[in-house]
Amino acid sequence: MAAATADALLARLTVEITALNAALDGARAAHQPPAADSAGPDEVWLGEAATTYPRLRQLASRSVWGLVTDSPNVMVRVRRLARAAGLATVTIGCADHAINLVTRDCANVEPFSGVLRDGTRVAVFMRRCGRARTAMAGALADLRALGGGVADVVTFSESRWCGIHLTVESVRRCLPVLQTIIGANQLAQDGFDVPPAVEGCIMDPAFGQGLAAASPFLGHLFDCRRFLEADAAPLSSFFASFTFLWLLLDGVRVTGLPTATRTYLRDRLSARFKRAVDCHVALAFFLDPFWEPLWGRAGTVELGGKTILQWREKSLEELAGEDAALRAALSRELQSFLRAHRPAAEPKPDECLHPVGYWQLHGDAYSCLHVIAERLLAVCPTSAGGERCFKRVSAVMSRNRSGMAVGKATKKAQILYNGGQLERSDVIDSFCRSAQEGKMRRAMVGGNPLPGAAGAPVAPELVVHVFDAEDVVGGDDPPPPDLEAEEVAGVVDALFAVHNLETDDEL
Amino acid sequence: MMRALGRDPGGSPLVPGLAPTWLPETQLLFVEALLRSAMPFGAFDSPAWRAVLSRVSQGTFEGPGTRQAIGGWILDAVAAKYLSAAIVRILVSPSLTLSIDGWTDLPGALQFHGLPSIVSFCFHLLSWRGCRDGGCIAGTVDC
Repeated sequence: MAAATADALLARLTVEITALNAALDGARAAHQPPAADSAGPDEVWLGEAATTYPRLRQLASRSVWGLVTDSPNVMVRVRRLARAAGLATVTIGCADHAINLVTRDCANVEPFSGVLRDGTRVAVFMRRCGRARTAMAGALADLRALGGGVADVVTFSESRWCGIHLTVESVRRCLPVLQTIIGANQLAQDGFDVPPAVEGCIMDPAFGQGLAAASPFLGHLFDCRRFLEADAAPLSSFFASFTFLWLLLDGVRVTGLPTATRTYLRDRLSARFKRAVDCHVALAFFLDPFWEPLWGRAGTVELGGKTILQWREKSLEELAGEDAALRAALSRELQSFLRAHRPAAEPKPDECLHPVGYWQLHGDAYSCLHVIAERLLAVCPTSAGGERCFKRVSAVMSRNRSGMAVGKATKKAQILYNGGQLERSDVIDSFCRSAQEGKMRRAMVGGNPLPGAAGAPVAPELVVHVFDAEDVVGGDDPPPPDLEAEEVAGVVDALFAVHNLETDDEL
Repeated sequence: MMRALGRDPGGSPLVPGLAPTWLPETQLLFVEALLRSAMPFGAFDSPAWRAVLSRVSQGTFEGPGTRQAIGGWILDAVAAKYLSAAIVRILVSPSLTLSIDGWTDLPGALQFHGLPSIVSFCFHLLSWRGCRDGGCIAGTVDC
């Protein structure tokens, strides 16, 4: 079934991409500016190097460079088939999904497993029990009035495992308030019912210690996901995030994690990476000067069964094909580029641009790499953009208007997000590095990563992060009914059900 | 209910002082705004709305048209306008990334999948077609 679906999708994709390429080639030929006497059309459009190396011209002429999919088995198969058929140069899985799955893997080992389960249990109860929620709101309002406010506890969506960091961190921040509420409730004559499991972990000192131990690494995962999801995130972010996480787990860089846990998570990181990666991602990483502090440290990183240097070499070989001269030129230019960028404490202003912008400014010194870098770095590392697009369909095909003809719904959705995109500024031009990326970079310049290097300060930012909270997703929906103790346990058990690690279909 | 083409049968502008194209252009603009807000085709197709719009425009404009007109030829016109603009933007972009998505209903049956977007630097072109019976659905680029 999956194979047949994948074959059908690939066949259709082939037709579409072929049609797209033909249409674009035709339109570009029609709009090509008249070439100067000394330069042919290819030289004007693709650059001088493309006329020297036929293979480079072939690569540069491709209209479709990247194919990004999410993780269901059928899409993994489509990706592999598409790559084998040469439909796109880079075919990757969504890095965002991969990081999300690594977060889910955390729930299989201590100290995460107990803390995540207990933290979620507390958060679900505090959000879904009316009297507990009211008591919490009152206590937090008092704290805010005294100038010591913290955000409320939040729960996370089942499909967004990275959001569990917000749950854990919010419970950790609110723990003194929670203990006060539960303590007062125990003394009250008309107190509300609290499930023993919830009461037990709130009052247990070990619970707070577990939250503190688990929170930093979850914060790193969460922050990696945040900048990977950004508009126009360059392809280099894919490898940078995995490398950073691997380096954190290598050695005693994340405090509070036993060696066995670090080994397990490194293995899972590697497995998730392998399922999503394409070798060209490694080359993209080395073409982005913003990540120069990670280049030197990445030599020891082994992800997906290969070192990063092996991934990079494979990428160069694939790009050069059988053209040995091009292969030599690419290696020479890459070495020259790497030598020209030495790790510095702070990035230069132009290194903070989108790497495509950087190569547009400085690419002339590397004529062959320039052709590849501009195209490679423009590929998105995640399918977040596509998913954001597809969400617009839900505005058109809402529950109350499900009878609309598909043709009309298609046109309405086209108008919605074509219109939205046409009004936006160029995301490459307006791209800027996030605070999380800056902290990660600084952490890698010096010795060990700074404590909480990729973790945003929690209390002030929780309000901003509330978009991930379960209740906000519901919008104007009425609050859900109170849960009984066994229902709280049911919600938690459903979230932490044992999953087959090799199957991502549920995501 | 609409004086759709802005002219009387004799060819003169219906409203003195206004260009003959004023009314159809206003009608198209109104529908464009309506569709951009994902509002139902019949949102303004009621006597109350027609009365309000007529009053605020001093009788020159009664609304975007019937729901049949909005969901028919006006929808086609607005969609064509946006698709043309989208294709122009795609043509000047040096590279593209395809991003595929879909959705399933609760039992897991395939509802939609296809090629919802072509991300081209700063640009998403919706170009997919679907059906509800789980048959073959895929995107297309109408270049």
